[in-house]
Amino acid sequence: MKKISFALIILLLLPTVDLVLADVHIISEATRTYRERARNYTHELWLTEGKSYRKTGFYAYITREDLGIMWMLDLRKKTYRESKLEPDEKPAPSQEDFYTMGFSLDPDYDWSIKETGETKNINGLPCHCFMAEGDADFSEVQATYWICIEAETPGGAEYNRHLLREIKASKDRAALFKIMSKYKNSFPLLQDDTLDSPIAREVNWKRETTKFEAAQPPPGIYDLPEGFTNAEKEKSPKEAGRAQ
Amino acid sequence: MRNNTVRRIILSFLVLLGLIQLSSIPGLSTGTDAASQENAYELPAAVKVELDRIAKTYAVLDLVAEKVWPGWTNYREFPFMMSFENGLRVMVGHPRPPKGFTLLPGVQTAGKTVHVDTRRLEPLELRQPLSCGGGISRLGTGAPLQTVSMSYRQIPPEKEAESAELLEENRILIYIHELFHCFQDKHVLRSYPNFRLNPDTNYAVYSEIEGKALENAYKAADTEAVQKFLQDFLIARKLKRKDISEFLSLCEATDEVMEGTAVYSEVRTLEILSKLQASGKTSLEFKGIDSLRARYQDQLRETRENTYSYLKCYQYGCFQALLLQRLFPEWQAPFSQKASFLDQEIGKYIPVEKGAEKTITSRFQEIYDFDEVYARHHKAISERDSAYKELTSRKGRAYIVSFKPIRQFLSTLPYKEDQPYKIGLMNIFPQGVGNLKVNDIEIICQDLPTELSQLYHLKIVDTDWETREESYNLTYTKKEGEDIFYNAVLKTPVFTLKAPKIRLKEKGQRVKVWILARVKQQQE
Repeated sequence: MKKISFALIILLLLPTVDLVLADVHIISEATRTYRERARNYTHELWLTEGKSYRKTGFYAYITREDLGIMWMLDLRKKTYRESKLEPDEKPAPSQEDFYTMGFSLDPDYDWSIKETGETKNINGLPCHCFMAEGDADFSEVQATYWICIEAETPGGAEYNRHLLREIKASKDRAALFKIMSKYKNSFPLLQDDTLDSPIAREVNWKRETTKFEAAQPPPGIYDLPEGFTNAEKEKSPKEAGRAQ
Repeated sequence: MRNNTVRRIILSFLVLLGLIQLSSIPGLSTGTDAASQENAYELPAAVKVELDRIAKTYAVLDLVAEKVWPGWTNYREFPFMMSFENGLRVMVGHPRPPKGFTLLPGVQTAGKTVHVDTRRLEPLELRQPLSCGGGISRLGTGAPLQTVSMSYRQIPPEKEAESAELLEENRILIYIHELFHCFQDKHVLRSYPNFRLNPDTNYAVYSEIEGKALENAYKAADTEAVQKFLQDFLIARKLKRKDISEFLSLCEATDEVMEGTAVYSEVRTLEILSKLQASGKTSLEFKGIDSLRARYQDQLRETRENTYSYLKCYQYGCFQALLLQRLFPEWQAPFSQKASFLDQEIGKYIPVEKGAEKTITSRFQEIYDFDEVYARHHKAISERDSAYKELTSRKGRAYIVSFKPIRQFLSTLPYKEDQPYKIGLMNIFPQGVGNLKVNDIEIICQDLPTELSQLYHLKIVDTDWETREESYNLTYTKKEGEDIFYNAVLKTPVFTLKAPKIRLKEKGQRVKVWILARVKQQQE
């Protein structure tokens, strides 16, 4: 009887073990609507400790914390650009440059964030609904986030850290940053935010995570692919002329 | 007006009945429903005038385009999108217009189809003269097309007479300017974002000297004198940019190429038309060519003296291109190939020798009245900085009115002071703006430091807010939902606003109002 119980426990835990051993694989579908025109994007993300690979359309981004760098790949041209990875912590507010101040406003919003109490399962993960309203002098943000706040969700820690790094400088997504910073290992499955900026028309983004799984990534996915050349060194004479 | 409305309702009803009949026939597509409903819509006369001007623009370009810039033949390929204050949008010559547009059967201009979007129509009469501004957008269903996007505004009655002079010719030149931008896409390369800069004294001073040097060069009779003035220009430019980043310098040079050559296309159009008319080679009517040409020199003079303007690229770029054309008539083809900057081209053709800088700066004293120029700009910059400091030091409850929902640029409204101080997209009025009025909207402002910001927004801070019992008093005739009010009169300590439809929100230390309609609806 003891042996049977032990075998059952092992069987129940197997998927979790799989997620712990494999990398995190996430697919999200996003729609950006601007001036009645909707554009759809599919994002594919692979995460493992200190490394990530994100592909959107013809571009892919690889981050390597061990090397302190990020590569941006142009998959059509087979070129890449390399940049330094910024530290994890939120950057200190920069000193405003007098020459350029007041032209493009990226304000600090006053946020009202409310957990509505609604919950639902998205892709088998329990999610809580948060509504956020950001208010600044000449712009506003309205957002609804469905967030998995179960701290023990396998893959949650990696995804949480990745997203926090990605959105830390976005003032219009600061509410999501606050929620995810508050709930350990939390991450959104559904996001719907509308930005009414000072000059441009409203922009709405809907993002839905359609796959959240443990899987073995394609080999070498966190490395610079073979045959890709450095775009900075491969400038055509015309491009070089333009950048003079 | 009323008869027209009744006629439209009856016509719409008949069209609807017809559609119901048609839709009952098996196999008949309902795809034409929307188009048929739009049959009831007749373009206002003021819009037909603009369609006519587009056709005339093509006629002018047929004569001059390839002489303006080698290879400029694609000007008929780009659709026009026209937006009017009453909410009407008209699309000319677009094979796949965006959602909401329907074909106007039987209406064409220069053989091009006309679609309309009447979903947001307000009962506001459109009448000429209209002013307009434009830009290039990518619009359309499926793969969007590069489109000339124009917005038209009613000219205030007190400015109508002045604006009506040569309005058609001016409008054609604006359309030429925008069509040249479309041509630039593949022929004059752009590589840096729009230039934006708050000038300091150094920038303003040398910027004026640059402008004076270009004007002197343009007026000079002999080539040697032209070259000397262009050397002055190059040295003034170097000194102007000594404190700004290389990136900003490149943005400025890019804007000069993009906007300068577009203005150049206007001037060259006039020059070529003038020659064609003089030689009797065209019967095309185009009035006031000499007076229009003179305006570009006036604009150069006005712009160069403006301390706060960073948008001198239009005139400065144009005159650099005109001077290149005069000195080196074959300059355009290689310029298109290399995607160079205009000042680089001048520098290449007219190099400034090492050590010449010292001689030239002494010319700034002798010829350009450097001390007077410096004193004037220094004073203007100090005043601007004080006004900014005073405005931003005001703490309290902020009252903000947004005209963004009706796309009304506040800079186009007449206000008390002619010359606000500018920082970024902020216009500062230390003594207030007075009263603002447009259509059925009126704001009577207190004489308090006021900011017109980010094109559409007015902001005034009430520093005595703690002494008030209420932040505002609102009366209205109808309420919709929680926060929308019709025929509203909003009295605040800093202004009184009257508007046909507003949204109002108070949160923390902000009272925000969005203007949602220009004119009163009868049923409200």
